[in-house]
Amino acid sequence: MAEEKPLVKRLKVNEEINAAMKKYIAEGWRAKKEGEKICWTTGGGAPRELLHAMDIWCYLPEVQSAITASDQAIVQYHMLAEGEGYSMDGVCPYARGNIGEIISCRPQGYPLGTRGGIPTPDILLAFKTFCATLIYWWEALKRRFGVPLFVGDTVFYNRPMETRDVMYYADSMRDCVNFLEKHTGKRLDTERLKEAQGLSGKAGELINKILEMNKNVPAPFDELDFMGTALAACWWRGCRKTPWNAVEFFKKALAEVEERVENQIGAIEDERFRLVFDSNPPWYKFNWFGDYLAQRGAIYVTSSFNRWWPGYNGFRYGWCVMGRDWSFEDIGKCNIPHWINAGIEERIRYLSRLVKDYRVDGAIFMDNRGCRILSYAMLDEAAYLERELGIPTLLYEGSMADPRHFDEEMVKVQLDTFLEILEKKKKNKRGS
Amino acid sequence: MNHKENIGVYDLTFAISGGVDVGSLTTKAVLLKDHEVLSYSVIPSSEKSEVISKKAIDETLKKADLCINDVQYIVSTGAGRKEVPFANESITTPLAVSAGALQIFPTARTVIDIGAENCVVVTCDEMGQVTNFIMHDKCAAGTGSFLETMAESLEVGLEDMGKLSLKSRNKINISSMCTVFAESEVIGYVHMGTNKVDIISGIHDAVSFRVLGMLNRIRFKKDLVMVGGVAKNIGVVSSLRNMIGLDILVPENPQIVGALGAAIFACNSAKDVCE
Repeated sequence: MAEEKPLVKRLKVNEEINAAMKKYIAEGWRAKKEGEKICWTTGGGAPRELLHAMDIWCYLPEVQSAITASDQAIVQYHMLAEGEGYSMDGVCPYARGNIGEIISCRPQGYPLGTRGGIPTPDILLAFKTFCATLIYWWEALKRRFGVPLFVGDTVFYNRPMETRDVMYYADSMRDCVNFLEKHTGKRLDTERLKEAQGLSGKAGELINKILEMNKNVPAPFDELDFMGTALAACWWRGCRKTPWNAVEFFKKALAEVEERVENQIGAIEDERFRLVFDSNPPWYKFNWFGDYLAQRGAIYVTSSFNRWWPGYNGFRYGWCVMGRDWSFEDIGKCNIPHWINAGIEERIRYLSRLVKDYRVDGAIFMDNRGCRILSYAMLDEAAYLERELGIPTLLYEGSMADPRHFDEEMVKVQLDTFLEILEKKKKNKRGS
Repeated sequence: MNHKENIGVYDLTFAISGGVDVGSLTTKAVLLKDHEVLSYSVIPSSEKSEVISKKAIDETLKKADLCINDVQYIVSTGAGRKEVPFANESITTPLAVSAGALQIFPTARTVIDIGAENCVVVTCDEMGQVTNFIMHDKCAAGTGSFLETMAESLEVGLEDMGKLSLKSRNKINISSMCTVFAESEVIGYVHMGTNKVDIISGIHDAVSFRVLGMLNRIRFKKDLVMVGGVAKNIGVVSSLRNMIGLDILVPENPQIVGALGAAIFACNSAKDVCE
């Protein structure tokens, strides 16, 4: 039976994330107790380097919701949020998860999450991407906690970035610095920002190298497995303290991946189908997906996801490597081209390049009911890959953080059928 | 020697292969000899897949005056495909229905399969390879079960719905595709005194409209073939024909096309194994 075949060989370095996260939360509590200001900020578009440079402990509710979903604990929080009117069909499952966690812990005054309590915010920072929900979500947080909120803006684009885009973002950054200095009582040290940018840039370089390694056959790691590390990348990018120093972390990750390549060790046995994935992963089925595919000789070798956290580099392909000299414009260049801000043509161009460079056999899309902005271009993307590159595609329905939108049996049938199509295609190719 | 050990023993020009389609409402079995149907059977899926698939193949063998050891290779498909102990391998429904439809209509490029609880649209190329497929998600809306529930609400026979709907002169609009809500809507129309044939016609349009969405999404091509139990309903076929403005080919026994496709796979697999 297929179920008896070996599973994905996961990266050992990922095991360090849990321990690092526990220490990070403990650090947040230390900061809170000592009267430092705690900041809750958005994942996409927000300049983490600035917060690390100012030693402001930051928390990313979006990432926390992904973690809660992967711990299979998020639905209880969704239901609490839905009880207060946040619709299951209309509101982002990350937002419902976070708000539900806050509701569940009202007596204690802080959301518990699944990894211990989280210090409540003293300031809120939201950088608006194409996702409008973020702003409403952060406004809801402002009402709940009664703390000041800063809203910055990034730019939607379907063309190479222009100077005006960067200047616009840089203006937002200047306002943001004023806001942070006013409410934390800390002054921005530009030398520290330069250092944070340097670290962030270095982390970007390392991530690019790691992702490139999957061009090898067999692929040394499962792209889904590496998605967990995106958490470290997006949260701690620019952070200099161990164990949250992203540079140190990704150095270890690169060494592990390089060793596998050197020894011809694939992440799965008998790699037959190399796949690309587009969308947020369904976090509650995170390991299940990789293993199900692995048992059938398929592996995600690349994805849009691992390239679209704030390091996504739009037209330039790969992670954005931040300049070593500090400037708000430079931070803007790294934060504007978020995948969510990209138009259809840009997404198609990017995916096509991934397909070619990573020798992809098939593309899988998750029609994400939790995030319509991620999904709106998928039919066009799939049509293009099929028509122009002859790549079979599969579009299944799910949600990044709400398992109630995921039908495992239906997805299994769809995956099986898709792999049968790939198998037949491969056979015909051999025959012709 | 059981049939699984038969491979390589017989001259495969005249090999006998079998296909079993374990659906949620009925189980179908087909026996082929050199791509010609020897016999087939359709029985209700009233027991667990292991048992019912055995009953289906036994009945089919009996009709052809054969025993299981005469069959060289068996492929299973359908919802219970993995619980068929005597099958040599299993394939998913989209591949099976496309192979079956192409066997009957070689010009088929799009196959619509509506069974009791599933709806699948498959596209294939001139070489007979499946190029894409789309399945409806999660619920029974727009499938045979939906029609069965509606028939019960209207107190008409499921098999009579097709012919009745063709008599409609003033069709109504069923807006909800959820089986539960649509049932309420239908009962509402009954209470208002709406003619049953018009309600049935509206139900068929609702099913077709859902399939139309899937067809557009997959960018369908001619010729279209409809298979599965619902293809026996002339009302649904006619409604869909009108909506897309194209003819839809329907085989004589649309219910067994999945099992036929599985048997074709079995025949080809048996040859592959021997070669």
